Amino acid sequence: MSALASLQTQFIDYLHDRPNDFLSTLADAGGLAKAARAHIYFNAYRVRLIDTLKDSFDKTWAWLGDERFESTALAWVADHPPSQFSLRPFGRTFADWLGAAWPDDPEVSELARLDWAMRQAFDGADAEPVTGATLADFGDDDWAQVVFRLHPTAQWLLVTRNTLDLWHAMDRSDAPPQVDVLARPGRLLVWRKGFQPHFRSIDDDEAAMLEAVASGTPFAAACESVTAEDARTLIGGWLARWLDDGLLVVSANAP
Amino acid sequence: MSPADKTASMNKLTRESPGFGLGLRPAHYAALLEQRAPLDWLEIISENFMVDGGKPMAMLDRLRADYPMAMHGVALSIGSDEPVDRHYLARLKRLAERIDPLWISDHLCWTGFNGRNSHDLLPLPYTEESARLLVRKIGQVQHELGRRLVLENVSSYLGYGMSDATEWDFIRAVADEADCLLLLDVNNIYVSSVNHGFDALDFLHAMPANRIQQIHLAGHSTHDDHLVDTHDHPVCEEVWALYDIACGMFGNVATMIERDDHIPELPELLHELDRARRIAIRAETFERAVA
Repeated sequence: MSALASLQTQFIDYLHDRPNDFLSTLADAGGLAKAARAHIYFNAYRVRLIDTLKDSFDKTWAWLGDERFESTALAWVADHPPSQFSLRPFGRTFADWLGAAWPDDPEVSELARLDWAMRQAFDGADAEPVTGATLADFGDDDWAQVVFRLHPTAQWLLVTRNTLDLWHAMDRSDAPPQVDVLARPGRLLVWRKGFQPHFRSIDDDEAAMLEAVASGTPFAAACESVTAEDARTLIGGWLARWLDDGLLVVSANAP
Repeated sequence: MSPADKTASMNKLTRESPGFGLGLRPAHYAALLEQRAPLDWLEIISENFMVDGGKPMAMLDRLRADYPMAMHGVALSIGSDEPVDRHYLARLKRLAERIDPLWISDHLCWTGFNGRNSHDLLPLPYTEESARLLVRKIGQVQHELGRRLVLENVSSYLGYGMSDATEWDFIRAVADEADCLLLLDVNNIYVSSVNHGFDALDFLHAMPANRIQQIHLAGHSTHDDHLVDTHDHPVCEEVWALYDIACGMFGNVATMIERDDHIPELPELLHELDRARRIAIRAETFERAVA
């Protein structure tokens, strides 16, 4: 190993608080002591990563408060040092880790999953949404063949607590309500409309049809899978909402 | 300007200065879209636009239609003793193809090693070994990008026992040998001069005038016994004084102010940038008068 590679290994070991001999590589320069000089980098490394997590998980941070969030984030950083050139993926596994760290408080990891999904939606891939005007020109053959896809930023989350209510209360800077267990797990849809990430809860029937559309099932076939008595009304309502939400994009083999 | 510098400036390797700019920050998107600001160019942080889509990319395209842009990266890690990250370089190239930048800059430093990233601009030891590595890697990157790279001096808080040159002699030697350009960060020179106890003028005097493509101005935070390059304050008087001297030495160099925290409204930064314009114009007028 070159002298430079050895020094760079020592420096990173020092930042990671692993056994190292980094201070012995430093010059005596007068003024600040070697340890104090090195500590500026030690501290900056942690502040930068904690700030990145605060930015990506702002509602989780608000929910836990400064002290608990920072100590939790520090523990996570120690085990998950960044490896990519970009800080954007940093925090990708934080929500799962929170789930294991706070097993009796699943709302913590549910908030974190929502924060992360919103952050990913913010600068995820673009796609041109289908509009009502596009569909107005559709003939019967088009409807029989059309395959839609969901906007590339769309994803589902499962929640077992009133996580949505917690999120909205914190977003309004209100005192959050008490944590409640939902009667049955709910689904959240997260996506971006225009420049703005959105989320809303969806019921099982709508989710089933959306999943069919997302997986490339032709729209007509996806409609047939809805067995409810008022299927036509339901689908009409969903379609209007999906168009308004900018959720549908035309797939490559569309008419 | 010394006779040697005057000779060097005749062999300028840089492109003509586009004037005075600011760093593009999301806090100013709305103001920049509302009306054309008195800015000659914008500097973007390259990595902030290595995303798939959404608002960042839309703003980039809209504002690029109004302003020339320079790309300023923080993640090239040209000083890591390992090969250049091909994936990163490919994304950098793709971004450059999208916005046709004035130039592409990064820092004369390292940020990570062997799959562990500090996300900080870490100083290099000023040794022959470091210089050889830099010259080799800068050459590879310049070949890949098809243009000269612009590299910035970083601020630092520590030095290494193995260093056997001053920072300024090291930078000059690397720039000449690698045939790259320089982004002179006057605030970084000042911060490091205080932290390491050197004379900032020694640094300025050693810089090759014909390779200085851009100047950065910024503020820093002051601690009891050291300064930290935080970009969260206005440019301080000492840095303005150094900029004044740099303008006299290097002539008309593209200049911008970096602000990354406690970001004020756009008019306040434009007002601060006006001071840089006045200093540069005065220096140019003086140079003409004595020429």
